[in-house]
Amino acid sequence: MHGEQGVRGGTLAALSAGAAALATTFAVAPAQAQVLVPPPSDPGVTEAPPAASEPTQPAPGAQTGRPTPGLPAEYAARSSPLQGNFRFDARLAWFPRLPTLRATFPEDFIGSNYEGASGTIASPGRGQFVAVGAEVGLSISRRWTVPLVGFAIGGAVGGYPATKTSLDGVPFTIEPWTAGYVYMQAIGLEYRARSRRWMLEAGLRFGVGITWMKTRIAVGGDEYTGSAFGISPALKGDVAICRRLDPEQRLCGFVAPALYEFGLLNGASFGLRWEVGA
Amino acid sequence: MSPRRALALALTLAAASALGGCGVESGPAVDRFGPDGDATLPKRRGSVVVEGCALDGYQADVLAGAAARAVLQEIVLVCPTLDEHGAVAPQDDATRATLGALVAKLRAQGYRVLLAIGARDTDGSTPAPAPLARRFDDESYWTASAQAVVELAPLADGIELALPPMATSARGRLTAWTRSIAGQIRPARRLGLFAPPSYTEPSDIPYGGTWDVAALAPSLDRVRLMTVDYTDPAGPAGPTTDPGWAVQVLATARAKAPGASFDLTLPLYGWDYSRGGAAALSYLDATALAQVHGVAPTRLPIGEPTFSYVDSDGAAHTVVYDDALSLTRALLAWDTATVSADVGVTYYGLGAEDPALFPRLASGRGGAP
Repeated sequence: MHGEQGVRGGTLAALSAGAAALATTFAVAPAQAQVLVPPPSDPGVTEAPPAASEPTQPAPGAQTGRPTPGLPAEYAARSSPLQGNFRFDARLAWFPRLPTLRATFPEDFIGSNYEGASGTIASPGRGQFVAVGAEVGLSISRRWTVPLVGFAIGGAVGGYPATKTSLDGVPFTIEPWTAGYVYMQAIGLEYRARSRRWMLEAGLRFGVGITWMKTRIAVGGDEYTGSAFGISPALKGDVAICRRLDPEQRLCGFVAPALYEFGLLNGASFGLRWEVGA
Repeated sequence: MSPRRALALALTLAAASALGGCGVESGPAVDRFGPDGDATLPKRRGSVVVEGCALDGYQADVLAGAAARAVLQEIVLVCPTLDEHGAVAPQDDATRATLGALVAKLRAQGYRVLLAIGARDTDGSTPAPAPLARRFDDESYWTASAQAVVELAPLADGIELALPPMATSARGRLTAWTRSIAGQIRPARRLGLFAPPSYTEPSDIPYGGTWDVAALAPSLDRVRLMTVDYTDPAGPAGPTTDPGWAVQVLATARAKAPGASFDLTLPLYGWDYSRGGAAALSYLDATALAQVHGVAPTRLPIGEPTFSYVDSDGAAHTVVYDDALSLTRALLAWDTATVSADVGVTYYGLGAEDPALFPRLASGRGGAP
C-alpha cells in the first residue's frame, strides 16, 4: 500500500512540478498582463506611467466600461468589464461524516451470483484530505466574479481505524486511509471588497464531491480487494482574505465551509490560494 | 526566497502530498459487530438441532435456561431413522415412550418439538445415494415408509425430513411421497425439510436437486436450508459456514419457492482437519486442544477462529470452529434488509456451542452481554 502511494506520489509529483512551473510563468508575466488592467481608480494599484503622447487622465466613461469614441485602442481594451482570473490552491478538506459508500464486488470474485453486484455499505466516519485545486473565473465587474470551472484533487491524511461492515451478508472491511477525493466545480458567484492592498472575497460555489477508498471482502477463508465510492452534490461557501502582491497577483487565505457535501453542514476546507488576473 | 517562489514550492509540496496520499491505519477497527460493538441483533425465529433421542446433562441445562428460551422456539431431535424395510426406528414401545416423555418435558418448557427422520439400515450403516433412491421406486416401500412416518407424527409437534443424500432419480417419487405425508399429518402436525444448500440452479451440490423445493413448498411448513459444511470435510481446511454464501443460497431457494418459510442454518460445531480427513469437534474441544498445544487461535477473514497443531503422531492438523463472536457476526451480517425478518435461524448441534453464545444472543446485542 505504501509502495503504491510512493509510485503514485512520484508520478504525480512530476505533474505538480509542471503546475508550479505554470504558476511561475504567471509570476513573471505581469508586464504583459497589465495591458488589460482597467484605468486605475484604486490608489493601491501601481502602474507604469503613460507614454507622453497618451492622455494623462482616465478617459470619461472608462469606469462604466463603455469605450468613449476617439479613445486609443489600449484604453478601450482596459475598459472591458469581463476579465479572466486563475486560481491555484492547496487545501485541507475536513469532513466529519463521509457518505455511505457504493461498494462493488471485484470481477475475480468467486461465485456467479456476485459478479457485477454492488450495494451500499456504511460510512467509514470522518475524512480529512490534503488537496490541490485550480479554478478559472470571470470578473464581471469590480465587485463581482463568476468562478467558472474548477477542480480539487487530494488524498487522505492522518490516521484512521478500519471499519467493519457487511453487504449482502458478506463481511466488508473499509480502509479509510486509502481514500481519495475530487471536487469538481460547476459554477459560482463571488463578491469582492477592496481596501488598499487587501481584498475580501465571499461567495458560493456549486459542484460535485467524490470520494473513493479500498475495501477488503471476506469470502470463506480468503480475502479480496475491492473498492467503494461516494458521490454528492456540493454547495460550498468561500471566504478569503487576500493580500495583493502586485496588480495581477494575490495571495489569499481561505475557508470554504461545506454547506452541503456528503451531508448538510459537513465540514470545511482551509487553505492558501494564489490568484492571478482580475 | 521570494514570496512567489515560496508559494510555488508550497503548492508543489502540497500537490505531491495530496496526490500521493498520507493516510495511515491507526487504532482498533470500528466494529459494530465486535466484542465492544453496539449493533442490535435482528429478532429471528430460532430452532436448535439435537442429534440423538436423548439430552445429556449439559444440553438439558442449556435448554432449561432463560437465555436459550429467549432465543429458541423449536427443538429438532434428529432421532428416528428409516430403515431398508420402510420402518421407522425406534419401534419398541419403551423407547418410544421415553422419547414421548422427553418431548413432553420440552413442551412444558415452552418449546415446539419436531422429530427429524434420517435413514439408517438395520446394520447401522447409512445407505448410499443410489440404493436409497431405488427404494422409493418400490411401491411397497414407498407406502410402508410413508405410513410409518405418519404414525410417528403424533409423538411430537411435527416431522422434519432429514434423509441423507439421494440420487436425483428419486425426485419425482420423493415429491409424491412427501405430499402424501403432508396430506395426512397437516395441519394438526407440522412438516419440514432439511434442504441441501444449493447456491445455483441447477444445484451445485451433489444430489442437491433431489428435493423439488418449488413443488414441495405448498406442502411444507418449513424449509431449513442446511447452510453448514461450506468447506468439504474431505478437502483442505476452511470455514464451516459463510454468511454471504448463505444469503445467496437463500436467494436461489426463494427464486424457486417465493412463498415458502425458510430457515438458514448456523453450525455450533467445528472441524479438525488432517491428512486422514476431518472430525467434528465442539467449541470446548477446540479451545482445549489450543491450550494443550500452546497455540493462540487467529481468525479467518470471515471471523471463524482457527489454529494449527501437530499431534503426537506427527500429523499436522488445522482446526476451524465457531464461537459466540463469529456466529454473532454472521447473524448481524444478515440484517433485515439483506435477509428478511421472516427467515429464521436453525442452530445445528446443541452441546457443541460456545457457552457464551445463547447469553449473547439473548442480550439482543452484537457486543458482549
